[in-house]
Amino acid sequence: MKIIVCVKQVPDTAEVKIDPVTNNLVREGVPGIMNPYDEAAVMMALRLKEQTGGTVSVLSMGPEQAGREIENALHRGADEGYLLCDRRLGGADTLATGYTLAETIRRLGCDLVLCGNEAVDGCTGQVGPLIGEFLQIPAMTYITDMKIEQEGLRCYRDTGKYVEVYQINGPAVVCISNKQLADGPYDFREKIPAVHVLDAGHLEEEKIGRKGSPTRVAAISARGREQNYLKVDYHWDCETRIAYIMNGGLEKKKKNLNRENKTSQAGLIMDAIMKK
Amino acid sequence: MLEYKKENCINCGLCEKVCPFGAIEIKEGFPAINDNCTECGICAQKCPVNAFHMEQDKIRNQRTEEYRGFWVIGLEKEGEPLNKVTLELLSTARKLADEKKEKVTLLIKGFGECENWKREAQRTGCDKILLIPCEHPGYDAKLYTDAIECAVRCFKPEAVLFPATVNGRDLAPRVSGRIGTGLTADCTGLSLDENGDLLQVRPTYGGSVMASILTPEHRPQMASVRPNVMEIHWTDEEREIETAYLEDFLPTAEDRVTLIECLEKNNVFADLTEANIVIAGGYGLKNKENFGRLFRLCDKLNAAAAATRKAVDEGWAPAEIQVGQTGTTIAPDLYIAFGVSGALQHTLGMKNAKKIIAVNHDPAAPIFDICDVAILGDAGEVLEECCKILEHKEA
Amino acid sequence: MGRDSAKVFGKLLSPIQLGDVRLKNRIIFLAHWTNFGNNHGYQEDGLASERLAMHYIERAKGGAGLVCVTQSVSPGGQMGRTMVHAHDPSNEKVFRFMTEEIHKYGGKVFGQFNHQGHTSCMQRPPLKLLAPTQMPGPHCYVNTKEIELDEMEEIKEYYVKAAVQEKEWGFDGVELKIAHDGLLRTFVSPYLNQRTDQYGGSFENRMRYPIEIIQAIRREVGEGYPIGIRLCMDEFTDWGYSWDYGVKMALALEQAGVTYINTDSGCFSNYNMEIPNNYIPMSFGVYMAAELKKVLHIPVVAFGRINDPVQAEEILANGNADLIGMCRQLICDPETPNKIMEMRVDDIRHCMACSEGCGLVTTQEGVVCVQNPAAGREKRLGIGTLEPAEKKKKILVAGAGIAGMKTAEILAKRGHDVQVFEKNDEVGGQMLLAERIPYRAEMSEVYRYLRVQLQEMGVPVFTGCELTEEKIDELNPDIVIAATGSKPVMPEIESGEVILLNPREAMEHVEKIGEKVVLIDDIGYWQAMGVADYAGSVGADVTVVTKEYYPGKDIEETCQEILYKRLLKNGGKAIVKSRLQSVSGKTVVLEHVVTHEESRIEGVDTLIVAGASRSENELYKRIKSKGDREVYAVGDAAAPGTVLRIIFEAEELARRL
Repeated sequence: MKIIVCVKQVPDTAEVKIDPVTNNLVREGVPGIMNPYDEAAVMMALRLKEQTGGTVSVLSMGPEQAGREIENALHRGADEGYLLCDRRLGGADTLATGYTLAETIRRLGCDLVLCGNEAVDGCTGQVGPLIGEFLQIPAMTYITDMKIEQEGLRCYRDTGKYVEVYQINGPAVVCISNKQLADGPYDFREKIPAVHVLDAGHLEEEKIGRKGSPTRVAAISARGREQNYLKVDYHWDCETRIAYIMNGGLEKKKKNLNRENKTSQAGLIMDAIMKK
Repeated sequence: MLEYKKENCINCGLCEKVCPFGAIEIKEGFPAINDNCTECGICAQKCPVNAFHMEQDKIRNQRTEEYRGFWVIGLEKEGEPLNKVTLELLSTARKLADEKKEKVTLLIKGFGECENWKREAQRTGCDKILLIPCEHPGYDAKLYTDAIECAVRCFKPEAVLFPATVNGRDLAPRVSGRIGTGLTADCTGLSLDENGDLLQVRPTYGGSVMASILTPEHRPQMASVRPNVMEIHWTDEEREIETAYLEDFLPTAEDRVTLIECLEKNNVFADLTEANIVIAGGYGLKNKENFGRLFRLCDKLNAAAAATRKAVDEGWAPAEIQVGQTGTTIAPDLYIAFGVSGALQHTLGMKNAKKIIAVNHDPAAPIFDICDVAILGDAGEVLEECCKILEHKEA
Repeated sequence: MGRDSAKVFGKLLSPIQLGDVRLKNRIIFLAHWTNFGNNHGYQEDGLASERLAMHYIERAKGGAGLVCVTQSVSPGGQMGRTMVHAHDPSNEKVFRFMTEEIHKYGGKVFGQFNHQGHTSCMQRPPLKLLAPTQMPGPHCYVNTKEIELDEMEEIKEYYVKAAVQEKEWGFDGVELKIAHDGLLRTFVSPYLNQRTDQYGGSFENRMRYPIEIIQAIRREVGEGYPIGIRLCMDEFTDWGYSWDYGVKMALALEQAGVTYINTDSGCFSNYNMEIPNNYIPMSFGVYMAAELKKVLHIPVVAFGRINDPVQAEEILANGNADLIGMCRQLICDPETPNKIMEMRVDDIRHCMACSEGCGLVTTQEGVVCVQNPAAGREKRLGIGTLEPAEKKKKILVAGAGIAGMKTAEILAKRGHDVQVFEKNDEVGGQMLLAERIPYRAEMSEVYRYLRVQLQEMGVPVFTGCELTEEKIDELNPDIVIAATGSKPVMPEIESGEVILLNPREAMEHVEKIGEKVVLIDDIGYWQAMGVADYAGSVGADVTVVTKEYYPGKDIEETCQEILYKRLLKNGGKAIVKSRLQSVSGKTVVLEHVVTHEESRIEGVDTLIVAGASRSENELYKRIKSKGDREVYAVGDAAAPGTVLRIIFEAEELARRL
């Protein structure tokens, strides 16, 4: 069975900041990591390979340093690595990214595509289903576990209320939403094949990069973090500052505390519920 | 289309400073644009001499003018009432449509009677319910994608809103891929800019950065929104609501995918984000037994159970129902808190509830400052009394 | 287990570089006033003691990444005679021992240098108080000396000498205190520094002295040696500066080459904010660190009622700080960092900021903790000192209040076979009432922690089950522990039309509290003022009567102040130097203790008398008199007391058996 796993290098999100003076993203020194959900997909692919034989190829679209994540996967046991790296691919939104990856997958050919359900920087969860749409194969999202069985591929999809169990016949895209699948031992491979660097030659120019992206970012701003802690205004006088802190940032309302006996208090609550 | 005219450039270097993506580097006095450029156009806005310039695509105006109307996709099954998130999206669509004097349509799968849908949809200002005639129960990505593609080609809406639920987030990107248009996920804000385009605001980078997104040239503009983010607005206006079937549509389900079974998850608790009534327990309930009472009460009243972090830490309640900064955010109509102190971390998750009743034995508990009805008492005892009242009623 | 904690508390347990020094995690044991220096009179003051060293070594043993040791930098710089001297070569042996031991546990240690300046007045009579401008306090009446340039130079030399010396002795860095109180803060404070020479009159001038000191130290210790600043971000007084000034100072200090900024707030004039008790919410100080994070490049430490790993991890994950400063949390549970690493988060004993133990430092007592008897007694009772019992005995404990549960905990940890019996349905005893006092809900931690420990060890706690003599005879244990508590004692008076309540009843049956309450404070403790606060919070008009000059005499200073303020804010009042004479109808008659004048309070409907309780120790007496079984009384059953005494007593008893 030939499996292709799509991975993305993402910034370590806790480190991403906006410079308060220029309102720009601070990009230097922000370390990159493999998207944790993609890591889960890689490990799942390697386990499936152990079970059924075949090959695991890893594909990523990104700048040169994204190659490091592909090498990471190769060290864990993946067979081939492909990096789509080309100036023309820059500035792509999810639609252009989906097309780019899908078209490349079509060229490489495979029986199964695995990827993370979403990336922790954009958190859109769109690329997986887009790949499915472009390849005209099913895309299973929110998959927490999967097995290869005689009858086909069995996937477990967590919808919150239920776990839906599906059987898939034929090629499909499986989007992993269970980070814990990344856990597990693997043999570290010292010698790895070189990563194949692909350019955008096999892709249609109007569908990739900026040109192929219907959405544009109009503006960005740092999200106010007031809600994470008490925000004390330094203009307030001392008494106000202290009172604000001691009130936990809440306005002290004159409360009418209900002190009746517990039966009548319970009655009050049940009445309020029944009215709804 | 971002254009740069070197002859106008005065080497001020302002563009490098204002670019939010670090895409401009001044080399030998002049800007060099790298891969990070997303053509957001801020450099063009700030350039004092118009050396940077955003070309407006003229074709856009013709094409985009043809697209009118604001749509909401409903993923309910026939016979189910409309989900809260659908009503929230309809209210949002109504607000947007009013600005352009357009109509709001709900596209939903159904065959026959949909009187209850009509009633609720009408009250949020919906003008039309477009039914996808199909008996296939449940969610099928291919079927919905085919249907929405067909409907969009027919009716040309300018914007389509999806609920960012599990299935909504599965469906929306497939539709965007099929039609070849832009989609913004998990929007926290939707409004119209000065050109009448949909301005889509969403958090990125784990929430530390807010991005404002436009789909300037492609139609329809698509966005998904999570439950409990937008507010429902009921309108009293008497509005004619039309229902119609999507004609010329032959539904075909995805045959390569079979649903074998649906396993109920262990300890299924009612969906917190959809519930109208939430009964929460905190540390003041003191033991597992009281929580057992709370869960049974919720079961009988069809309310959803919630817990604070401290209660979850004690093992009295499962982590899925934890409400607060590190748990879920909810906005029910009625929130009843038993033994919840109201520390900031919890109240962040529920302070938008419409009505809050709190029971606590500490008169200085912070929750008393945000609740509507403050009851001083032992939470466990009052809860027991509530259960007794219910038993009495059932008898 | 280790992998899990790295994921859940990834940031908190990650290392960080401060200058040349690498800390193994982000947890700092903040420098604090311990009163552990030896006190032999003026000449031999400030000697480091073994007790001091053990206190800090214990926290390194418990896993803290960095330990900061409060020291006085020069002879006139002590806050009290027990403040240990950094500059005194006599301290070399103890400090070398201390730093060696701390390093063995992988921790790092910085010396925090203080010159207490105008707050060297804690000791009575005070030393000569130095300040930039002569003015009293403002926290005390004693006037200061306007410091002269040669004195400043001398003190600067002491700073440098101490830094160099301590580097020799094994300290990994220094922290300069420009916070709370002390010479450096008075220099930077616009109100307190009104000099007209180059050390006052402008922002730059005010910062000059501290920056000169920093640069002088830097020249001697080299580039990589960490020099940090504990900086007061907000003086919290009406004449003082607010946090925008703190940010301005931090930027100037960063420019001067400082390695990190450790945030702090408050001063002696607002002692409440200096040592925040439970009335001040957890994480209240995070905004100060967050504001600094927006503009500084050097690491920032968050402080302020941080006692929980999830809370700490959130602060770090949100980017509001780089390090977490915990002081009292580690006094209460020194093993907190190790427990976090082992994912034993339930086992962490949280500081509840009651201030009843550590608050005693203001009376120049050594720092203790109500929940941790080992605080201040690390050598005898600290980590690793609990010896297993020589012979395993069967022990029954009557009463699951804190005395009973603490005794049971230690007995079980030593390997005895313990069973606990509680006649009520819930464990906790009087703490169940104490936690209802407004803002004291965190008191429940005392029994929560003990209950969890007993659960984990499998010690059966039978609730709703009274330990009777019959049961004892049936079970035939080796030892019986009577932790049966106490009963409130009410005076014999005619209560007229007024409802007479004891404090426990008032807290248990809030519906009995009427509209106009008179509370007689005959105990000077929480049972009086705490209950008065409770009654006031539920809407009653409360008058507190005491024979002393002020109510709540034995309550810790900062809580006392807040309780009094709350009494007045709720519309109540205190009548001092008076005793209850009689009640007639709805009138309460008081008598002045000195002048014997009578005064009356009309329209009263509730009278709460908070006096001493009486031990309930019938069981103990009966068994003792029979003489055939080993029996001990502990806690209120022996003599009614405070949490501080009782937890200590229980620990000592359990270690003996």
